Amino acid sequence: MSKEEEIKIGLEIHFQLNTKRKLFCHCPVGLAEPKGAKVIRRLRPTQSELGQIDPAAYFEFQKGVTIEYIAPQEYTCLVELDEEPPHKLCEEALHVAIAVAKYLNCKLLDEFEVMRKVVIDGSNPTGFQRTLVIATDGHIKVDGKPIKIQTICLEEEAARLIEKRGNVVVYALDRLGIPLIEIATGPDINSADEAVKVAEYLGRIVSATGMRRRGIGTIRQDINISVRGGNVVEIKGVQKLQQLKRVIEFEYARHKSLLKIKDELSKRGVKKEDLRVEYVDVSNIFLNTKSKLISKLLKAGNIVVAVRLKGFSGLLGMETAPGYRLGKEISERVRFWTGLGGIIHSDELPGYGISIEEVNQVRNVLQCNEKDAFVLIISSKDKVDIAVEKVIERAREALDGVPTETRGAKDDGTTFYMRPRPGMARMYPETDIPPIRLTNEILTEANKYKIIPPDEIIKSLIKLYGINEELAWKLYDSGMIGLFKELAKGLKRIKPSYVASTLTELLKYIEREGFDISKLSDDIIIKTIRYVDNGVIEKEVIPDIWVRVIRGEGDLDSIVKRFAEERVKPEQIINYINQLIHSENIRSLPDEIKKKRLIGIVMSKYRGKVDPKFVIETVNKVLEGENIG
Amino acid sequence: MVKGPISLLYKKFNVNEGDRVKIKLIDGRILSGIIMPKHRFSDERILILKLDNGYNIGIDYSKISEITLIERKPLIRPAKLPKKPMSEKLPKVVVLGVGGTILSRVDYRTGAVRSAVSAEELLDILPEVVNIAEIETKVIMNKYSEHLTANDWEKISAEVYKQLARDDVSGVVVLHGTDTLGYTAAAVSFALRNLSKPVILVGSQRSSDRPSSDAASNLISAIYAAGYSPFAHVMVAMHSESSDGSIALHIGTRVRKNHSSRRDAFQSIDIKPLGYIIDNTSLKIVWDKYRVRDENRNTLLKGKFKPKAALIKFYPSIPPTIMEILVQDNFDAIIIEGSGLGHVGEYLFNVIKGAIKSGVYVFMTTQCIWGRTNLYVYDTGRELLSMGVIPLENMLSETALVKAMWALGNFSKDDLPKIMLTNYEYEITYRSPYAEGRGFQP
Repeated sequence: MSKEEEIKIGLEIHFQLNTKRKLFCHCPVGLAEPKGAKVIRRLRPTQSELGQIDPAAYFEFQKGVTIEYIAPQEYTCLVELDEEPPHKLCEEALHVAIAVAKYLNCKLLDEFEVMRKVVIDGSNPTGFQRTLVIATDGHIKVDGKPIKIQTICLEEEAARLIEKRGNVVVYALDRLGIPLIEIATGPDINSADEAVKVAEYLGRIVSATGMRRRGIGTIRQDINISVRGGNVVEIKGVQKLQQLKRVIEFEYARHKSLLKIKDELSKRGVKKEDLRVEYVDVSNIFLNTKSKLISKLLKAGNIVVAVRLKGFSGLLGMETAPGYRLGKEISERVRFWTGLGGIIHSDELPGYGISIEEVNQVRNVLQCNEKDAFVLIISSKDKVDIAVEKVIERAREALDGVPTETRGAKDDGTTFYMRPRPGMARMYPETDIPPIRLTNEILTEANKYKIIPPDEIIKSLIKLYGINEELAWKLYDSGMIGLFKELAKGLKRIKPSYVASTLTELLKYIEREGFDISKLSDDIIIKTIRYVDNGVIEKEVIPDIWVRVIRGEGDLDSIVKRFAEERVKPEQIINYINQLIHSENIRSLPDEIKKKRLIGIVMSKYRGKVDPKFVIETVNKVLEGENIG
Repeated sequence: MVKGPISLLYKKFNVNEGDRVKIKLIDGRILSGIIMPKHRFSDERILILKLDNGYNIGIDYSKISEITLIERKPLIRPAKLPKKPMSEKLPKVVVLGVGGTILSRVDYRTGAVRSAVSAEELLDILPEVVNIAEIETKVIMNKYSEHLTANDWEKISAEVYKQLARDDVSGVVVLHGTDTLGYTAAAVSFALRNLSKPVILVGSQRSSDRPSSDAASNLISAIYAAGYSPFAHVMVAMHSESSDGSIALHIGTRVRKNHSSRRDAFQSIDIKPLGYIIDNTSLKIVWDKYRVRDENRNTLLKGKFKPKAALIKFYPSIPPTIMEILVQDNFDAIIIEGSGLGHVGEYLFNVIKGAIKSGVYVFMTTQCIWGRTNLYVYDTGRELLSMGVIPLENMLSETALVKAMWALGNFSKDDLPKIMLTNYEYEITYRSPYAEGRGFQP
């Protein structure tokens, strides 16, 4: 069976909307420096979360976690701080979502019910995220392939994680509450390439409303992935399309390996009841250990316990995906619930300074045979029970293959255990906000967002401005079409394609160099291009000028003035050319080469300070004059 | 109860809220989920279905062609936190339920809020309480505080008195809605004379279904204060700031809800809180002098409240008839919340004179919230004084109202002026210390 036949992927893509206000309060949409009032909160487990996850472990997990919220004045109010009930839903966001839903052939609901989705990490000061379904059951075609659209939701964006230090997690609240439109596809995607195409397609549709927010982090996708024979795993927080591809490759490998491990365990006859929540305190064996890790932790008052995993020998250390192992999954699970780091499994022993004798002693105590593996947990006494339970829980899941769970994506495309996958009890009604009936007025407002199919826009751009298709898509995807059209009006000296590449490639280049291009307002960009078009400055100096604007070296006009003053006067160029023409090494050249050489020398001296056209014309004139003369 | 087209639909297909069903739509789509109770403002043509992904969706009844029952109301048991047994060695605290958000629990299936008041349920929510105190709970009533009346203050005071009289009880906590928490705190303060142990009223501004609720830390701190603090006072325990971690203990007669929604809505007016409970587990004492806990002191109950006193806020153009009606209705006392130092417009002079003449006591407080009345400074004030209006120093207008009802309930009417001007429970403070910062907060 081919990989494409085995793999099923569904996407949940979130796009930030650039509405006049946030989804449930009247703060403007935008981000600021993480400065402002600080509020410290502690979250407590509540019933609904406990309905889903292990209460004992969860309580342990949340105990002692302190969350610090920074509330930048400009973009936050009491609603973000959970100090005031939510305001009514931002209607503008609803209209956009409806417009998108209709374009994607979805069925609108008759009444929208706002829900609270419990989140446990502090990223919402309320402890839940507000969300509502707008429409269901849509369908699209991407490159001829039908893809189902399951739901379209409106959600409030979560707070921005600033840092984690010890038991303190710091969030900025500016991002909290920005409207997100979430589009969930059916599990109809069969490859990473297809996933990228679908994501691109949906992004372009949302952009076509003119309401999508630009910039890094304004789009995020979650992936639901399963491989035939395994369960669905949810991967959170993929921000870039390139990363999406790597995540899918990584997960495919991991799923396949876990299914192989399942088969192997079944061959070895391992059953769930063989994996018992039992442990032996083996601290004595390590009293004089050469392992620095263990002796240090023992001195700090910890104990070492050993758990037998019957039939697991060799499977914990087997690579399941690049750099990833079942052993690591176990330690990630334990770390999530207990915060413990000292988890070692027998497939990596002897190692960490642990000797073969110590390994054998542990094996003896646990009565392990050569097919069995064991896990060592170095822990304070109060956390041992939960840690052991989690080791056994994950080992038992290996008998079923791929556990249903929520995983996080790292930049490099690897994934890690995030939390158990939440179910329906995680959602309950937001009673502070009345349901919203779909009315004709709402539909009329939504119809004002005319979504023109992106490829039609591209065609018209190519036709009207003579730019190539690639550049046209780049303009589209960067959300710069409006600005481009504005700039392309009445160009004198420069071409539309130059403007297009400045808006896309040049800006991207400047951003890659580490400059914050959000400081370049549309106004600054327009003015700069106009200066170039009017011949005040040369286009070669644009990057230099913009970098100076970003660095705050003055306003645009004064920076441009400085550059304009550096421009060379025409007489200077004429004099220089006349001077060159009489010099030894030019005079002797044949006419054709002479011309090229002259232009080259002048341009290398005065690049950016003179219009190249003028140089060419002057060289021609001077050469003609010489010939006449 | 469901009304309108939806109830007919339920009847037609013999299904009910809470049932797991399959719904066939006219366009052929099939949805499955649980039928949910309806929000008060949900359109009556809408059926609400909870999908398996947890979302609720609203479907117009006209689009439904068939509903098939899959399972009658599945029972979903909430999970519980692990519990340790209570220790009898710890101080015993009685937690009395009056109502409010503080111990409401949400039915996560429906979103409906109900009260949780058994000791067991309390410990479900606050398992760490077992390390602080031995808890006994009792529900006196279950009302949102805006529905409470002077009659309820009598019941609450009597129950608190009864529990305090027990030798094994170290303190009493009252769970109460926040809207009128200040009034009840004042009422209980006056009702319990010669108080021997701490009485803590506590509420919450965020319901306890939220992980971010202030209910847990307010309540744990209240229990701690009831069990361990040396203050034999009636107090209100609420967040002292938006952040968690510091719970203020406000004196019951000088506390006011000054914000409609913030956690730190309650403030002590023209006085500092007695102290703070820090991180649920330690007491920071602020007051130098206070009535010290003394189990041998004999607390008395003066627990009657006669609601024949009224509170009127003066405003420009207020019609004199408002007061005339009170006089006609045989009210014994009128508390005016005057402007500034304690003034009213001259167009009220006649009606005030008339009221006093017919035997109604008229008292003056200030609507400025912070600061003291003084009727000597301006003509208007002097005029009011000469009519017989009695200024009440810096007593909060709400406290003045409660105190007047209490005085009328337990003493002769003739003693009213004397009682109103006697300082029982810090309702009058004679010094006005200067305080830096916003909110005139000492």
